[in-house]
Amino acid sequence: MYKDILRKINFFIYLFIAVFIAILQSTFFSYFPLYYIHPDITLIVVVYLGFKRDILSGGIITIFIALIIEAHSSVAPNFFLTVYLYSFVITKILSRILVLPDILSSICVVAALTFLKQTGLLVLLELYGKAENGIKHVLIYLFPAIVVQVLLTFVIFPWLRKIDLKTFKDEHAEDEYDIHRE
Amino acid sequence: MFKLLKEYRYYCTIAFFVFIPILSLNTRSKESVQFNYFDHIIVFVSAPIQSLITYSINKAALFFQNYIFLVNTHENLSIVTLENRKLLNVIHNYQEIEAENKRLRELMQLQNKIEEEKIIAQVIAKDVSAEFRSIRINKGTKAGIERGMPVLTHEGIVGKVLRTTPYYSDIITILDNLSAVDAMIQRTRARGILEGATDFYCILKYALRTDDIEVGDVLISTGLDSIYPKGLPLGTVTKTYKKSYGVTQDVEIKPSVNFSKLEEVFVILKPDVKIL
Repeated sequence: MYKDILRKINFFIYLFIAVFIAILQSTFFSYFPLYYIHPDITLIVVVYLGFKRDILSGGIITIFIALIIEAHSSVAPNFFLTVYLYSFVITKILSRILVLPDILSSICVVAALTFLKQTGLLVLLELYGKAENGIKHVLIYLFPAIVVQVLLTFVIFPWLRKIDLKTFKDEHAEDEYDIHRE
Repeated sequence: MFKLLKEYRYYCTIAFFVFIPILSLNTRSKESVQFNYFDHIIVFVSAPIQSLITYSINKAALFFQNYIFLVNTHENLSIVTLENRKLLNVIHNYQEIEAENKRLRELMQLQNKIEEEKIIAQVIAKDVSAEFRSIRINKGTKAGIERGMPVLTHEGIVGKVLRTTPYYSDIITILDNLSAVDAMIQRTRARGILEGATDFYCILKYALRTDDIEVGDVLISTGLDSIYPKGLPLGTVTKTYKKSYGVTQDVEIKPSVNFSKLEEVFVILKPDVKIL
């Protein structure tokens, strides 16, 4: 009963995390000099979900997270929905057929998806006829963005795993719970 | 059929998630979209925290500056340092108040030039993404703000209202990639469209190749887009690009507004404004 309630709360915890990330990115990281290393923490969370959740529950959380982030940006409607949902699907497919969900492969996936996201942004701007204005900015920050994302993955992944363990969403949570009880 | 769907539910779900964005992403319409009910809830929860964090960061920065100054004083003086610390703190507080007063006075001066109704608002957050450049202010529809209203400072045009909630509004700045303002060079009246490019400059597009545009020229709004009042400063020319072909030239513009230090703005509540 207690475990079931915690498992159900896990979904809302992730929504709260998304709101927290949006607040952090729109305030703390927007100020000089942190502005130049403005990370996309949401993308890391989405990759984590791609590795650790089943396709349906992970996909639904990703949709909500994308909508929360979109409420804090002037970006074209559903742009983040597209980016994060595709990132989730790509991670899901990769975790099933290509890579093992360990920290190193997660970092590679985060780096690749950051690159894809920035490229996708240029494609979107091209659709609006504004890619020419944004290309220089995107290319200048492409490499630093990937480095920052990779470094943050080392921090974010263990945190998310801890949350999953505490809420019995992780497959090893039951074992750890039993050990503590003994 | 149901059995088939159940058997291939993994692939069906993936296909579903792939098609959702394709169906929902609309790049044809350049109209801004108002907040929906879900967004209203999210903004209602996050905006007060954003406001608190922004306030704390500003105060912390001020405290840090004061602290550094006090450390230097401590090195130079011995016994009177303690007294000096208190006095310097007071002085810095006064300087901050003075700077705030100056900003507000300048805002009021520009306010007096504009005969229509307007309100002052505080900037509480910036865009969640580094690639887009909107800001959030602490006034919304309850204060009379509507979508499309122009947002200014004493330095010039900031942008326009993108979407609103009862207590908060998002402003799309002239630096944003998706922003466009009808503009002209003050000296020669050469016209073009000002589009956002990076955090530091905008691009004036569609200015004719034969137009006389020089570095240092001031760019102002034409008022022809029915959003911004005519004659307000947008920025100054920093570079001009003339390709060896084509009928237009691109001009790099440094915005007149310092967006990195933007704290207060005012919103013109009636769109048909005139500068006196």
